[in-house]
Amino acid sequence: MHPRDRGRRRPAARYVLCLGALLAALAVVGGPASGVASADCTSGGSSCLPGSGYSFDSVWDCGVIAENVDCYANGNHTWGWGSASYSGSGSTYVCIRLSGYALGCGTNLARTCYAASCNDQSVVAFPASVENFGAPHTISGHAKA
Amino acid sequence: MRKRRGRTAGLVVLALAAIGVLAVVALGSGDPQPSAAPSFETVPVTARAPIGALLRPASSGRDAIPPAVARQKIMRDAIDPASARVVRAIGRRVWLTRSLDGGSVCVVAAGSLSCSHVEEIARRGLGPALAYRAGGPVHVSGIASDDVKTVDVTLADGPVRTVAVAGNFLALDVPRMPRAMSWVGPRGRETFRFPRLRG
Repeated sequence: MHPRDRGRRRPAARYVLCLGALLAALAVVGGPASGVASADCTSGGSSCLPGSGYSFDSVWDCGVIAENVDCYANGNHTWGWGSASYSGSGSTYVCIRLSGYALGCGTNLARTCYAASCNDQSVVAFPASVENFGAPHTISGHAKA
Repeated sequence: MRKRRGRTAGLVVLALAAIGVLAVVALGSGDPQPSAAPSFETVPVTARAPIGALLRPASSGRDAIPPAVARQKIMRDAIDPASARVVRAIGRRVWLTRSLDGGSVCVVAAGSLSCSHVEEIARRGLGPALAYRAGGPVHVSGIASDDVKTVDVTLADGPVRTVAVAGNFLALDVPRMPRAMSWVGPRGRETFRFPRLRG
């Protein structure tokens, strides 16, 4: 092989190597991201990010409520998660109740998801409510479906 | 000679483009990471005082909340994942964390978050927490101050079960909602009556 021929082939080989490395890197880095974006998150799934797929957002309170009184969000929905919180002075015991499907209680803040994964669900519609245990307080509810 | 320079320049441009594309794709992909937590020294004294479990050195492998849980919608604006300490629980993984504002300590599990105000824990000695999901047990738990060692739980059908506190945390799984829990706090005996389980 003439020395000039070897010299001509090296740059071409480098181009091919560089292009190959670029395409391989794009395939590795870009692959998972595109998989998540195309997932159907309306009914949950392991590849769905928490919060994705939610289309209904509700914030509610009923003013001051007495102990053991439910304060309901407006209407039944396929709630995926809910929150009960108290932000006034002092503290009180609050609960978020997703009908009979999930319950979470704590002091000043409690949150729960319909499913442990917190993925959205579009199967069961039910009421969501917050409760207060102790002296009457205004408890804020927040839930998404 | 001019052709060789041209090829060299072409290679450099191609390499730089590859690096640029890789950087943009790498930085743009993935979930947003939880914001950096403030250092522990910035937490108010009241948030540190009664909860020794949050003061023990963290083990990054053992105490870290898995990203799949830490990134759940219900956690994102509420807890400081960097403060997490794993605690002993039954049938599920549970962590104690500081709230983002430092005013509460929270019980964290997959799909569940229950916080207790630090002043409440200091005043009464314990912050009760509850979590229930259909088809599973009622997870009774509590965040205890360093001085509370046992808690008595009155079960739904009447018997009292004494539960030991370990690492400022107590956990009991029961099939039905208990009636009450009681313990001896700084003010004397305290009683908490559980809400009814409906639906």
